[in-house]
Amino acid sequence: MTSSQLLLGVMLGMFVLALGVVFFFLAYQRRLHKQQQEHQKKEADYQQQLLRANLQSQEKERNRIGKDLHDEVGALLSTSKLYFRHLEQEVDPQKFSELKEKALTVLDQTMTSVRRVSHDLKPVVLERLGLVEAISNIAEQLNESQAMQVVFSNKWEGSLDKEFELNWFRIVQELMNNALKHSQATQVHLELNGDEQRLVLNYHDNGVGLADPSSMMGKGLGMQNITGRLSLMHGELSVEENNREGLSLKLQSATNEIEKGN
Amino acid sequence: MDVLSFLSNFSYLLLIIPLAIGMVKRKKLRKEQRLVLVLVAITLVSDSITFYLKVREINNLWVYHFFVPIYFLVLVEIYKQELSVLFSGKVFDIFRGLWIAFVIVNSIWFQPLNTFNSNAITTSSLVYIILSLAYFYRLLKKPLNYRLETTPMFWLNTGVLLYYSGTLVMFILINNFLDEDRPAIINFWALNVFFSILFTGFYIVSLLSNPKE
Repeated sequence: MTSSQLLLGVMLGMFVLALGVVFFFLAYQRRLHKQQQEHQKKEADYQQQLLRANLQSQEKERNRIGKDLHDEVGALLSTSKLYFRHLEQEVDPQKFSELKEKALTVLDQTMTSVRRVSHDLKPVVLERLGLVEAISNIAEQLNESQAMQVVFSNKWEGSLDKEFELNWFRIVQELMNNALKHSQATQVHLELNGDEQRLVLNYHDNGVGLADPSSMMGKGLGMQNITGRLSLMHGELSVEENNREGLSLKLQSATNEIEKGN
Repeated sequence: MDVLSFLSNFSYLLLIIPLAIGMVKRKKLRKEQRLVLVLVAITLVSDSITFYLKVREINNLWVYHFFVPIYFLVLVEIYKQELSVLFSGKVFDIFRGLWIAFVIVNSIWFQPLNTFNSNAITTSSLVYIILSLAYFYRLLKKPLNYRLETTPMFWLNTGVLLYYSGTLVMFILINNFLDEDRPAIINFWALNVFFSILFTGFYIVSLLSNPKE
């Protein structure tokens, strides 16, 4: 083989090599594109799931409020109406006074019911005293009810957006709700910490835990609500591994709109 | 005149096709496509001059001393815009300045105007190969938001990689064969003609492409 033939071979070899690079790139690019599409589809499915959970949750809340108004406030108002119907001048004064007292008691109960419903809609303690006090309040209420013991500690001293505060309050409510309904826990530990940019809530209960923690994500309206709210605040929820029995969760989010991007 | 001589002499006229396409589409061309059109025009003018001088039996090698740096400046300008994610514009400007200085020194002292400026062509070919690989790398790092086959730069880049990879060795060694091995030169030029025609095809596709989301 002459040197010129060898060089021709080298030229062709280089050309084929370059062609190989192009084909490799095309194949790799196609694979990348496919992966991206799959990722986007998963993301879209997840968003849809969150939206559905959000709508279901709204509907559930409306039903609850409707039920509260109908069963409690409605019933109490009907009762007071009955009392008022009997309040006539001809009635014996002692009976009149008795009926009036009963009507006033029912009206007091009605006012308490209305206050409770409105408190559920917009928690006053959160509005007036902030998230830390509101969580303390939830813990106190549960401790008083003796349904379970809640130990709450706070190491965080930052400030939160009002919208974020409400989201966190609802998350804690949902966590407590889940603990009461499903965990069979007798004790729950809540710890708030973080800094100016991030807020972290560590949750631990001594309940039955989860056989497969990863399966928890995306299952159940409550959990979807929690992850949905965290996602709105650019946060996340992770199941922490521990040697203790029960369930350990770490929830974190940004503290305001500006920090969302970090 | 055999087929090879005919193609060798007149294949450059195929550049009229991308030039015509570019002229017709000139108002719709994207920035990089306009620069591709400039590359086509430069190549066509240069090849026409070399052909004319060859017919008049006048040494035409000096043409490459001007064509290669001008082509380099335009092509690197395209890559400067496309690779801004990987390298800053300053890097390109400094590199272009250094390379032009090298080419001037080479043309004055090492490969005068009446010789083939293989040093300039070889170094520029190496740069083009590196830039085209860098472009592919960039695409892998940050995929485009429109389809690849509709991207003018993808086609130009593929043409650049194939042409300069194929001809690199020839440009490095051609001066060794110029006086000794006439059949070898003909074979080299035949391959060069084939690669040139292929490159013209990529120019055409690049100018015809309309990026679609």
